Amino acid sequence: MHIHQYEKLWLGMSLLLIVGFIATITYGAVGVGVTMIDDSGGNVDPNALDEHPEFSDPGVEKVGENEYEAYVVARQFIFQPDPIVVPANSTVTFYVTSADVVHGFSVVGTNANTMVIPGEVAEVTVEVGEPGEYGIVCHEYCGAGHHSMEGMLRVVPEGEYNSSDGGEQ
Amino acid sequence: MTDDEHETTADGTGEEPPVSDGGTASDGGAIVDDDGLPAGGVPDTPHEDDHGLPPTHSIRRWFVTTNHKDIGLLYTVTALFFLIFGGLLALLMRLELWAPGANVMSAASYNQAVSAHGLVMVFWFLSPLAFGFANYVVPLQIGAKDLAFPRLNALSYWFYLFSGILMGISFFQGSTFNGGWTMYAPLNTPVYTPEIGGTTTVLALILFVASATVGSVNFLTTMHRMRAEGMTLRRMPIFTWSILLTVWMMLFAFAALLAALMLLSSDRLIGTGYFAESSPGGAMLWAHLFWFFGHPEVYIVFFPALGAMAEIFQTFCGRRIVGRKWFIGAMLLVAIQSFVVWMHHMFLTSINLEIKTLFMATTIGISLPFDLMVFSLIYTMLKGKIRFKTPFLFGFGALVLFILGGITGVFLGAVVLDYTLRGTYWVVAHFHYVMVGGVTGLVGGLYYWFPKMTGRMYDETLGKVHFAMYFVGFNLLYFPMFLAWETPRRVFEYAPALTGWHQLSTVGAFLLGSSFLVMFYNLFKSAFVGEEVDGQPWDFASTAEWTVPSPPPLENFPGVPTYASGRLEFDDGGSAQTDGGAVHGKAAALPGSEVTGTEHEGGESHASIWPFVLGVGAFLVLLGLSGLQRGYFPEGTMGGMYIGTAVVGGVVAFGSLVAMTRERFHGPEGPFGESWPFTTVENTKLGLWIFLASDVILFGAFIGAYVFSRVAYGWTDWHHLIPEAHVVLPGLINTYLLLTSSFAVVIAMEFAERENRLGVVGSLVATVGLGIGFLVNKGIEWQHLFHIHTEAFPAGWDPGTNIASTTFYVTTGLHALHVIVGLVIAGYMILRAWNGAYMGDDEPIEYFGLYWHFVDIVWLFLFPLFYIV
Repeated sequence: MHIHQYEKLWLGMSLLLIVGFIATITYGAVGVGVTMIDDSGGNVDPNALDEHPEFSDPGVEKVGENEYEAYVVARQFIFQPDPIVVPANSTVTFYVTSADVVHGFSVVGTNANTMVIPGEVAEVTVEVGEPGEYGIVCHEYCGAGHHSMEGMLRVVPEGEYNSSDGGEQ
Repeated sequence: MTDDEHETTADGTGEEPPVSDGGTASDGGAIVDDDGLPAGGVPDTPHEDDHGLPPTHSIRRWFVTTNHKDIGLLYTVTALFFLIFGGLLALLMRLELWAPGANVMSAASYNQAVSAHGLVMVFWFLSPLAFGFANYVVPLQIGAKDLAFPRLNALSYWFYLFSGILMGISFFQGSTFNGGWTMYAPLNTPVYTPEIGGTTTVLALILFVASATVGSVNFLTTMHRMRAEGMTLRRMPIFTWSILLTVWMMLFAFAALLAALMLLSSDRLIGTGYFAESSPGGAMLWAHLFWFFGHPEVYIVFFPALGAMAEIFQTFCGRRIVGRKWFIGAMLLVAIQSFVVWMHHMFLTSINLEIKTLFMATTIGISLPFDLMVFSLIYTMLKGKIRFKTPFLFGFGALVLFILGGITGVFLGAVVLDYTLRGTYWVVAHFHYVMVGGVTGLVGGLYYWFPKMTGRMYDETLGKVHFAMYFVGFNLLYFPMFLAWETPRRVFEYAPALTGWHQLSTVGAFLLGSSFLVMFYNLFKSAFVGEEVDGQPWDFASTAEWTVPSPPPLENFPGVPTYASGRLEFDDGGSAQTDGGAVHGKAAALPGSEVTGTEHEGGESHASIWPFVLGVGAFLVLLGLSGLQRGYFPEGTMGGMYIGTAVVGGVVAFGSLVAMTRERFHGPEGPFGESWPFTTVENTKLGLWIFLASDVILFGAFIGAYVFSRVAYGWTDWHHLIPEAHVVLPGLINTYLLLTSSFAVVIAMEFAERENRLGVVGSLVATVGLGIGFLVNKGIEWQHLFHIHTEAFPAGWDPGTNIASTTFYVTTGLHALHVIVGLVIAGYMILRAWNGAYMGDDEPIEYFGLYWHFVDIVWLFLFPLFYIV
């Protein structure tokens, strides 16, 4: 079989591309530790979020040196808490679930972007930098008020962060 | 082979299996006799036979026609109408996006416009336009007189048209479905989208899928059974190949969609709980079913465009496509692989990373065969001599756009990048480059086959103007979306900084839209006053449709076409044929494509109004059912109107089915030239087998939905959802009843062979009796379960009680529906057997038996799953 030189080149490059993508993912997951959403978040009963130890009172908790966990509930047509307040230069892990339909949770300008599926908890870790404000939008259709469903991630200077108002509503 | 014994070969029943009570393949004596017409020439006096059809200028013609070319035209015109429908919705959206925020439409209207735009374009425009060409061209290319089941083909069209009308009506029933074209659960359940229009949209989709399934069965039977002599699969033209693979994908992918839609409509109409929040797997179940269909659908939509592009490249480069075998092989590979990439639409769900990585690999891998096809097209241009006619410009444009669309898709296929890009305009831009890239190819096809369909040439200058406006408009519309990729999808709010890109995009949208005005003007005018063309307006077109007059006569060929001595060769670089003697360019196709013999069935009517009437009936039934919500019709007059509509529709549908089986109608009969690999299987039988294959997927998806829901709930916890009263015995009795009834069918066949009339009637009556026993037993069981009063189930155990009852009633209910359909057919056969049919001709009974045994086998799976484990 005769394969044209360009074709060989293209095949080689395509293979390289595939290997490259797989390498990216491996490096991303192992090397720099970009946490990707997987099934580690676990399951919840969307009809009984009120009884859930964390989601009954969504908010931000300090769990370690500079490490925070943010429990977020998406429901028609709000994110709870809103705004989510976290200190600058910290590591925040978001646990997001839905109380009703499928929502989107995209913190514009960060790596947090996920589907929010009722019954499942999406987990995503963000390295938060300088103080600032990030908009959160829902980009999955979720009903009549979909267009108005937005939230806010507020990053405040470490000194100003008060754990008691850490994202409580 | 006379009288009503031989009523029909196309005795299908819409969504029901095409069980025939007639239609033996006749050996029909010698069909080929050599009165050799000149090789490959365009016959001067096409044989005129109206096949019982009114003339084309009569309105009636278009309601009764079953001819594949007429139906091809109907499909094409209707699809273009839906292009306008979907296009106007798109323009509304682009107007809305001129500036951030809701300015033009209300938020609710915007959501409807986006959802309906997606559905209309994907379902009611793209595939049907391709099927317009497929209907017109495929039988010509393979040398068949018509499709295997002409009336079923008409039925496909009418189902398609009426499903589209139903979709349009949904706008006026409160609101059409407004949860996006992906219809994610649980937003698609009536708790969140209570509008009747939402239900109508789902039912319209079901009717569309019925149309697509009937069409797939028809095309597959035709292409596998009815090729001319010498037209082996390897020699099939590329467009026909692309359609063959498309319909195979459709057969399986649409069955999965049908299952998803049936589950959804059961949730919406009866109030079951497949996608309710109470089922832990509900949201993911929908996503899996939808995307298992959804990804092959991308190729279902794109393949015909690819096929058209390949034909156009061959004709206008004057060269056979480079690496034809490889091209076909690559398409085959994509067709298979398309079924194992669907989870890349779900990278942002909780599927674990190993599986995501696997699906990333299959996804990126699927781009390789496409690379091959792209290169093959590029080489064809390099090695040929290009003529820049309008069809070629569109074909070439499609290639360029598809390359861009394909490459940007590889980004999305990588899990890591998808975390950033998902839900943004990157995705929107990507799939519009791919899908509308496909449209570009199909528009090329429209110009390419326009002279064949109308017998007149379009205006070349206006065609080029159209292309220029189209190509500029397209890129102006979609390319800025890549640049403004940070805009979130499905939202009309966006960062003000991106306003410029969106305004550019809107300008492009209007340019693209207005380019179609040029096309409509051009084609409409040319169809009446364009320059008349002969059979071969493009020199170097290589396929068989160009060897007959434009438009071709109803029976396509003046005799039985054969390629026995010919090869699919092509005039390389403009020099004359090597082996032909065929006039240069003119019908140089298929040198040696000798037209031998004539076969003429004079006076046979090919007109039938019943497919249209059945379409009306199905339309009314679904329109009536749309009012049903969770088991209740609306109060008062409105509810009465819905019920009345459904009842009238049911009567009309049933009446037209009966009329259809009573009608004398012959589809094309064999033996045909090439029928590999189904030489020994008769058309109707093959059609039935293919239909059953899609039914297997349907049941597979239903059973899969059960297993998925149960695993998500907890396999053993599930038992808490089932009352004690749900015992094994009724199921066991039913198993015996069904097995015995299958045996009775076998005995009926035996009696038919021995020409024992009473024996046939007796065993069929036994079949029906046992079937009714099955239903009665099931009815008693259900009645009992509905009305139990236990501590756990104080209000009975009905379909809406919990996910276990939902899966039980709906899955076994679907099976019961199959039993009922079988009983109706068997009842009809008893009447016929009483009148002396089937004596010595057991084939109809065999076909019914196939279906009946299949229903039986399905029960053998359902019984242990729902009664024992």
